[in-house]
Amino acid sequence: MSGRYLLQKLARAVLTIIVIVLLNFLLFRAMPGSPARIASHHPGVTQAAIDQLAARWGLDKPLIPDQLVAYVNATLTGDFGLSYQFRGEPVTEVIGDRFWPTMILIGLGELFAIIIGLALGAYAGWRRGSAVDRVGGGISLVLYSMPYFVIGMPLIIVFAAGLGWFPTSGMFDAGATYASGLDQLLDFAHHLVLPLTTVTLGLVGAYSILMRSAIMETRSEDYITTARAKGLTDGRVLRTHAFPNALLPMVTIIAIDLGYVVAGAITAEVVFNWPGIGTLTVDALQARDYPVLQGIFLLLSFTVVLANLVADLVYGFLDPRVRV
Amino acid sequence: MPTNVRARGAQALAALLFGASVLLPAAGPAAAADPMVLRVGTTQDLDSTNPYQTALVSGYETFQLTYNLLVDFGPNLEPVPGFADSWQRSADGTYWTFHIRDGMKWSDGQPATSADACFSFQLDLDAIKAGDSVGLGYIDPNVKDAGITKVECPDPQTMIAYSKDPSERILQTYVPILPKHIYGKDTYKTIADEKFTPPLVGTGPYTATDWKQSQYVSFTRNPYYWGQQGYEDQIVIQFFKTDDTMVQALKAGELDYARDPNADQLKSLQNQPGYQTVVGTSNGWTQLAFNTYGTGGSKPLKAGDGPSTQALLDPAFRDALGYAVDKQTLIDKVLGGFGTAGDTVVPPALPQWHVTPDNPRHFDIQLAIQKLEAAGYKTDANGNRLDKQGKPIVLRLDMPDSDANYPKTAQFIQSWYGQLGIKVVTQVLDSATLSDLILPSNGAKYDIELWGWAGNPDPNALLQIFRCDAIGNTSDSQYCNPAYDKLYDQETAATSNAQRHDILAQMQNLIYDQAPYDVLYYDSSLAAYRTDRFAGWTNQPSNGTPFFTYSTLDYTKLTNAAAAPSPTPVASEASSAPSASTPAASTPPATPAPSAAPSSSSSSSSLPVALIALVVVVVVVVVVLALARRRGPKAEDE
Amino acid sequence: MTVQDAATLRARRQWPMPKQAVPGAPLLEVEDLSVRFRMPGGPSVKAVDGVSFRLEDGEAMGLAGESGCGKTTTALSLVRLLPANGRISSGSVRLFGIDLVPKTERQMARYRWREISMVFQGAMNALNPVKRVGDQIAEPIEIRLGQPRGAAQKRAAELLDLVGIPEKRASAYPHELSGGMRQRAMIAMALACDPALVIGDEPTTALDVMVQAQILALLERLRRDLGLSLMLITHDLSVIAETCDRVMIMYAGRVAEEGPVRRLFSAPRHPYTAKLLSSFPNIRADRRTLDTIPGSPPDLRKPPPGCRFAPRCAHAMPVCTEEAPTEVRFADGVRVACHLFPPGAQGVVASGVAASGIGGGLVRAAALPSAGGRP
Repeated sequence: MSGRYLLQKLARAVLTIIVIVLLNFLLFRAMPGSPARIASHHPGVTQAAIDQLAARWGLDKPLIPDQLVAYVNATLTGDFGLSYQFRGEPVTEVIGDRFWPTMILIGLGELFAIIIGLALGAYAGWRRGSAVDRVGGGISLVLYSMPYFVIGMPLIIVFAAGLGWFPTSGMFDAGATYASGLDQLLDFAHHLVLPLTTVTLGLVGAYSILMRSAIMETRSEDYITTARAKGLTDGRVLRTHAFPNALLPMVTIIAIDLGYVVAGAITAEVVFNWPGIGTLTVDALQARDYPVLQGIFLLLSFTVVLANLVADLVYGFLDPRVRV
Repeated sequence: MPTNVRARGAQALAALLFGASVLLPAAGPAAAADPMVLRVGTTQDLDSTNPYQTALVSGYETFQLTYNLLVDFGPNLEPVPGFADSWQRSADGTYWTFHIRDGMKWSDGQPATSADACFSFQLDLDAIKAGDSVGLGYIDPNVKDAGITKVECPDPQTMIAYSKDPSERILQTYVPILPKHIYGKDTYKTIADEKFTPPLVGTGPYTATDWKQSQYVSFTRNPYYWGQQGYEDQIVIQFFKTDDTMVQALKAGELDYARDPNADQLKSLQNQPGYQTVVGTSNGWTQLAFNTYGTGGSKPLKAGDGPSTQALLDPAFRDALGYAVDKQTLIDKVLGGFGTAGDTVVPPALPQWHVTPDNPRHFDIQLAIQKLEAAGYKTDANGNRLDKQGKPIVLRLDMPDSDANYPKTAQFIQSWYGQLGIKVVTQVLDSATLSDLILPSNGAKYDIELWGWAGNPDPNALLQIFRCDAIGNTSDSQYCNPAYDKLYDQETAATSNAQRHDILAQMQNLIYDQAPYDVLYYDSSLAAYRTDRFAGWTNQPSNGTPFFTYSTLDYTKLTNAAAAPSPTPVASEASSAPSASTPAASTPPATPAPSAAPSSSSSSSSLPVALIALVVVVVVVVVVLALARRRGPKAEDE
Repeated sequence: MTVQDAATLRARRQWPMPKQAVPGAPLLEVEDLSVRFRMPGGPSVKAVDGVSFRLEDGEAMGLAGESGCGKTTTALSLVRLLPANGRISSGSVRLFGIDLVPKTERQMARYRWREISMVFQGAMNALNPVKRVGDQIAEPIEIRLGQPRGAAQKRAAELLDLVGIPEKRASAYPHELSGGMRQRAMIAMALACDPALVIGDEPTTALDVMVQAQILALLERLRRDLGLSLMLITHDLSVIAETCDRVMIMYAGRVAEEGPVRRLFSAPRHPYTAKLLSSFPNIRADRRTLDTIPGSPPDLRKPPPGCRFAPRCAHAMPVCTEEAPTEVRFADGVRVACHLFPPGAQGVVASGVAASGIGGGLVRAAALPSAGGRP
């Protein structure tokens, strides 16, 4: 991998982030509705109070250049401001608190979905027409079309409310104090099972279906015939010859999906009351909480662009034909 | 079976996690000597623990558990001791003397004296004097309305508040008494920026100890609380995104109390043993606000702005429309039966101020049509109702997306008005956009706004919406009537409750007859709670709900459900429901025996054994699989 | 080509013979092989119909014919590499006397690559694009022969050297090699397990003439040095003429003619063979318009009764469309299936493959009528 190639990609990534960040600023402010007024739908609040709030948030100044300059300055210095919604809380804390719940739930969900989906899809595509293919394909399609809500609610009703094996929602038992770190970890794991299962099931279908067609295409390639002619076992041909080649188109897709992990999954978070970035985004949109929205989108654009970059590099690593 | 090692490894890991978690139901916080925790659920998030920064009921609940008001609200909103245990108005009526309880301590052990009270009130007084507000500006208007000009604390047990206001509003000021020894260095400008990070120090029954944003806020018993405390040692208010999730948690025993379940959920719990449902009146209403911009001579708008027809400025027109709405149908069909038909703008939740109209309207489409015709609004050949300018009347009905009932209500309005020959075009906007849309500075391009308001114990909160100076601020009907404003000023300065009541009656009738609003219904607040762990639930006020009301005293009345039978809870129904389909009276349980709801806390002592067994199984499986793969190449011996 | 007998060659093997091998049996004996492809919603295609032939140790046999005549299918069916809808419907394939047809897939693995290996056409796609060439060659040595990785890599390097590729190119990827080098690498890979027979399926078709000559020279050298048995499938008769000892001409799934290369090319008996030969321009002869064979091969779902070439044959007789010709064997080692050469007279009815030695010496036959053939 040449240095120039890397630098080019990096430069493009940085430029993309800058453009996105500027666009985000303009887009959010273009939404009708002022956050100061939202906070003040209460009888007895005077106009003066609303004006004061708007002034505190710097909303009384013209959009361009004042607010834009302030925003750019703040972003460059790493000062992402205070949330309008959670009055006075720094945006970094507001987002930070939700970051790791999202990373764990969606990140692990994606990971399991990728591993299980790729394996299942590879096997189904390899043994096309077999029982595994038909059943697996059917299940994949069904799961793919089911939103998290439809997967999650039955799980809750049966396993949580019904059998009582798992809690119905949340990340921890609310307000609990733990005897030890291990207790806390176990409680967290206990709470994680149903949401993680839901997210994994919701994502596995797509990977399985995609991998299946990738493997099916690979199967008809000549080098597969060569591999079979070498007397290798079917499983070995699938694993060492077909799979690495079929994986190539998947790498890009997987990398982009992982980039979006940080955006959270709103319906899953709502169903399980998981305090993630998805629900934070929705709430912030409704409250016109510009600082939080800007923070989230900066984070998101950063991870997506990074994921793109990583995808390029990983692809170059996996496929010797595209190395520069 | 998937054949690659990674898949197998992941499978094994998943199996381990799953198995471990199945085998340990709720490991962790539940043991014999655990604190008694009251778990409360709400779908409203908490925005701030700083009393001056919170706009939400959850925020009020939080600071009212932690801090005391000077004077608290009793079971029927009457003044009861809070930070002050007695009070007296001076003979000449120019000041009040409050006696601060002896020997009171903050939850950190520091003495609580009048200095804290003076400090807390001074914050608001300073802001008012500067023409400013504190934080969001929700609290200082209370002080202003009460007419307080000065406070003095001559000794640790005495606070004197100077006010010439003849009413007793001073006993309803929503000012939390904050510890001076912690916040004393703050001015009214900086207090809004104070962090108020839990654990907080207060004189309330339970102080906030932890806040996980969007998850929960928890409270522990204040060891120095001066009054009765409830059976619970801890309170956790948990935030949910949807009421479905919340009610699931209630049913699974993870919550004791659910605030605002929806009508269907409430009905499903209504006659279940082990649960109690509450249908309370709320201090607020849902209304159709007509855009009457231009009445009372407001500055004219540009062409195309403002109401689409002059008819909306005609009280006769608005009055006629009032006969075209069947409020009981709305309650039955949209609210599931939980609500009260609306009339005047002071809700029946404030029984001492609410009056029913002298000239009530009722649902009668034919009568509505007659009145329209009589007022000069004829139909054209196609049945369209024309205004006096000869234009067909088409009304834009806008509503926020914050309530799932609004669109259903709007549909009914559309069909009823349609029978009058008036076309209604509906639109759902998000709250922010709608708030902006109705402002005259933005053109006030709407005809009817379907929204709602919630008030506070003093009726002025809701009545000020109709003042001329509320236009551009809280007014959503752009109504301006100098006669009304005059009455308002008079009642604010009334010297006796009786006098005030009379003037308020006049004002309510004025608004009713002029009809800038059509109050559709007084919403009900719904609640449901379990009766297996806690008893002694009381509503506050008696026609309200136990929690999320004006006072947190109800938290202190809870007792152990497993103990001797406690006084049965007050039957809780909307008090003024004429021929409403019964929101079935939830009969109090005969014996408060713990119900058969599944409990979620039983730690397993076989946990280590189960875990070890699982790990062994997993290791064996992995080893066998690994060995199986090695075997391959050697098997070619033919 | 050096004449070496079977015993010597077999003794030179690096790896043991299959346990079930019958001593004294020829390398490969295919008898009455028929392969059928199941088509969706219709009759199946009889791609190979009653093909028989025999290959001795050290022999090189060419398999020629136009596209679709069944030559590749025949080769693939030897190692059971047919696509999912293909199956051997009858016949036997005896390798060292072991009939491979009834073997299960698992049992077949023993014979693939270690006894019979293949070199495919267009090695760009026949080599895995994401694995290094050296690794691909070492793979069967490691997996099939159970050699440790280091030894396998070493042997792979040796094989590359053998085929004329510098050892350091072992770490290259297929796309980094030229066409000719890729083909050499394929050959090296085919030799990895020291097979008894290498089948080349159009190994030089995609290459230019210079490279083709190099590859053929390489094959020649390997045959000489290693005593390799070779089966070369191609439609290019010149390649066969240069490299092979014997040639089998196939048409529409059946054997038309088979015999020693010199014999067949100088005096073709079957009209199809003659036509094939005359389709090739002779660089030394006068300019002339190329001869073509009018018509096209038959639809193998419903092959015509009788001789399949009859519709296009200039010498067709009424019997040709009624009866399939019986295969006869001539003294000069040529087998022919044509009504022009009925059994009796100068031939003996051939039942399966005749027992004779390597078609080494030329056997002179009486001059025979041949349409347009050249002496």
